[in-house]
Amino acid sequence: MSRQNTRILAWTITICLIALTASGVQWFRDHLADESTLTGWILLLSTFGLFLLSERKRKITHPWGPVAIWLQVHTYLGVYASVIFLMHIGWPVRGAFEILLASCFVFVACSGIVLAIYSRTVPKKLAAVARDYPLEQIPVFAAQVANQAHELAVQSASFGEGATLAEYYKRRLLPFFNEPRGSMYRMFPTGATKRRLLRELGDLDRYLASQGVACRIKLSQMVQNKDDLDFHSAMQVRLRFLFALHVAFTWSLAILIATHVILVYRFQGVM
Amino acid sequence: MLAFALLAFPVGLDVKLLSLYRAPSNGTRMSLQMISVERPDRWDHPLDPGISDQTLDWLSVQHPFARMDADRFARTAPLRDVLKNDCRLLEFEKGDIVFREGQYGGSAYLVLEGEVRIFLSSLVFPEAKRNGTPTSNWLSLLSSRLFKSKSESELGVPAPSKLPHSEDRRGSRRNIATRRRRQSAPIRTGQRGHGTNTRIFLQDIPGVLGAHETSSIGCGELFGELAAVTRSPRDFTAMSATRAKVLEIRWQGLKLLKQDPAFRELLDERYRSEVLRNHLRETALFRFVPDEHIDQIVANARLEAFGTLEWYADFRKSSGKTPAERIDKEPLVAEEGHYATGLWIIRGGFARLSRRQGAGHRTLAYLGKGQMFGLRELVHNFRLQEHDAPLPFQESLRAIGYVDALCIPKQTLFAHVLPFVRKVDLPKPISEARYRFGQPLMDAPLHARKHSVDTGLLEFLVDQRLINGKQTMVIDTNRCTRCDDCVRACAATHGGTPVFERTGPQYGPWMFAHACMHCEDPVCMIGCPTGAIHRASESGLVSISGESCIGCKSCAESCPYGNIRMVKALDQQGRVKVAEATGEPILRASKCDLCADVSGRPSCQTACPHAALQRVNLSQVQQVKMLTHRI
Repeated sequence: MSRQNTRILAWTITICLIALTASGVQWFRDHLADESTLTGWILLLSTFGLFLLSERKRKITHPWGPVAIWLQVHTYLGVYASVIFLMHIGWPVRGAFEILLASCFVFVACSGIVLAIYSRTVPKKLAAVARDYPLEQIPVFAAQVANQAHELAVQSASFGEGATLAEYYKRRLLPFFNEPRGSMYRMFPTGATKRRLLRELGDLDRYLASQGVACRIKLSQMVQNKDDLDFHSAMQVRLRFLFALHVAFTWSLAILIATHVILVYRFQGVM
Repeated sequence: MLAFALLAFPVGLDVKLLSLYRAPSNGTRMSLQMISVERPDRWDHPLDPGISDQTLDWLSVQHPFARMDADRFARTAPLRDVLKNDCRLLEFEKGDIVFREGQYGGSAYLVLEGEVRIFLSSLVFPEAKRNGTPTSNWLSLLSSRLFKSKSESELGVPAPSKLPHSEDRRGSRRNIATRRRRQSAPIRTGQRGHGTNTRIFLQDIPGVLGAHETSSIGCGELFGELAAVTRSPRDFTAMSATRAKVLEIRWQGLKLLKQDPAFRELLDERYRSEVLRNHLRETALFRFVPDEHIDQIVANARLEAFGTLEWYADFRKSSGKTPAERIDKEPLVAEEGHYATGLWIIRGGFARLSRRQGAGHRTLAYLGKGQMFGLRELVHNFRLQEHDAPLPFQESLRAIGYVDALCIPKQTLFAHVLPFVRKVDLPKPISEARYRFGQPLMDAPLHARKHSVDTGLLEFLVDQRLINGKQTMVIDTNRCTRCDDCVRACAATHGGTPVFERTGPQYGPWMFAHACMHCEDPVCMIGCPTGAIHRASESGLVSISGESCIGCKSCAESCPYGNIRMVKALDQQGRVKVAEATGEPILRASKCDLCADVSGRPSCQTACPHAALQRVNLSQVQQVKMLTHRI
């Protein structure tokens, strides 16, 4: 079965499950039963199901099927749980604890959605770069490029064509090659700086002779390489950081849910 | 927004992974304990540790060892030591299977007493099953579990390349069809013994021998050496026809024994007299050719080898060259535009099928074992009317690294093969020939047809020799989020150190990661002096025995893809082993073992959350097509 057909079927099953739960809630309501108990327990079980993904990842050698399948189930179960969550909470949400719990759930759900979108879009952006760079090796590559650029700039001053390139390097390229990119770039990496530097480097050609131009072309290539490295770093860190947040808030959510269940049953006098 | 705000600050999320990835293998444990041990030697683990001096004395007077000149052997590896360490005496009862067709094996066998029969047609063993295609989505997995479809092999149909043969080759096609049905029935087997003495035996020996054509191997004859030397699967099943004593010689020993001219002579003689005949009988094109014509073909056929078995050295040298220079360096088997003088059948290795395109050459496909070149042109010429001019070869064939090929001359093909081949088995005549004698050459348009492999990818795979990989790790970078879950899973399965790197040559979105590809032709095995790096007989999995590895680096240096690394050897308590004499750490080779200890898929593939990582058999163009057209 193709990927598209699988997706259609998965959405159909999810919607059917939501409809089934909604009719169950309606039946509870019609029979004056406690509908929030039903949605609460469904929500609890769904959340437990969502937790199983991390367990699968932890026990990778167990023959429980590929993680990719677990992730797909996790995604659709997350959609289902979010809808049940909306059915479960009263509006407006009252009480500091309940607001905290609801906010935590909303954050986890939103970060999950963003992660799902990113995991489909970011790889394509990374693959569009000429080479692939593992995150752990990026500092090493960046240092290599910086050293090469430095040597090239120093070398350019010895051609007897003036120090135009060396001066430009010191003023504009040295910070670019040796300093980390700004926080805005880390959040929203763009090619604006790279384009500006490449344009400025190109403008220097009129002041350079043949050796200088050859040197400038190499420097332009290095600017491109450094920007590729920064882009890979920013995008990969963004994905990993978001994933770490999603996991961290998931555990907070687990604690809050447990407290919520205890409080509810204590309030009802069951416990 | 909170996430984005936090992103603005430098974070050290991957500190743990940083130490994991590209870690200097076990080097981080150097601060831990060390233990002095004696440096391992090549014959620390003989093939048969229990071989006695009496047996060795007896062996040395047997044919062909009695005729060998012991002085021709090096002082470090004398004949007696080769027999002692690289040989094993096996005893078989009547009906015992020596090895099965399709198994990989690094040993040749010499019959010392009794008789062995080799089957010229395929035996269908009852347990022969093929693993299903891995599923990547939950629905496919569910459906594959619920509705198990029977594959060809499960149904007991023999492999297409191995066609049954009639006892009476002049018999009718109906008789042959009846015989095929009998042959396709699974044979009944039993098992006896245990450990290394386990034997599989045939239960109905007369019945099986009656249904299949066999060839007899008698005392002093060698068999199974071709698969051992060319690192290819066994071409036939061998069975003991009587009580027999057989000497197993692992291929490291075979290499040493070949120093003796008498032994070399034995190999060459056997090759022409038996192997070639069997090979022709197994080829589909020759299935209806009568025996006397087969004899003529054997007499006239030329066995030719192009390139060298140790092709990896040339491959490394050619890495900086242009595509045109690389192709020019490849040994030419047959050239386009030249007279079609014979039919080429690939017996081992890979060959590049190419056409001239502008100032260069365009790769059309790569041919592997059993595939033919020149048949279309020769059949076209065979059917020509008297006044028509024959066609030359329309494409070129070049050896990629090493090719072992068989050439059947045109005259032999016309007289002894084509008259016996059914029309339906022959290729269609060439309607639009690119080359005609005396006519100018026109360049073909450079576009790939729908559902065919992109030319650029094909060129890349051939140039990088990735076509050698049977379990190549291919990562779709359009799907890979670079989460490194694969690396972590690998480390978790291999005691904390990953055995692959998530980097490697890349073409378009496909990255061919630095992980052992379990090659069709594992050249890493060539130099191993101890047989520590070996191939599993059934699965073809190339693995390294930690016990036998002496850390000579031969495999790591000969792997053309840089997929084997040397790591520090540890004992069972995690202490680094250091040599008593020098105090230096003892190394051992480390590479991907496809998580042999874990059931199902390798951990890296299981762990990939986006199904971006796949293991692909690049030696088959069909699998490359499936990879590129994955939806």
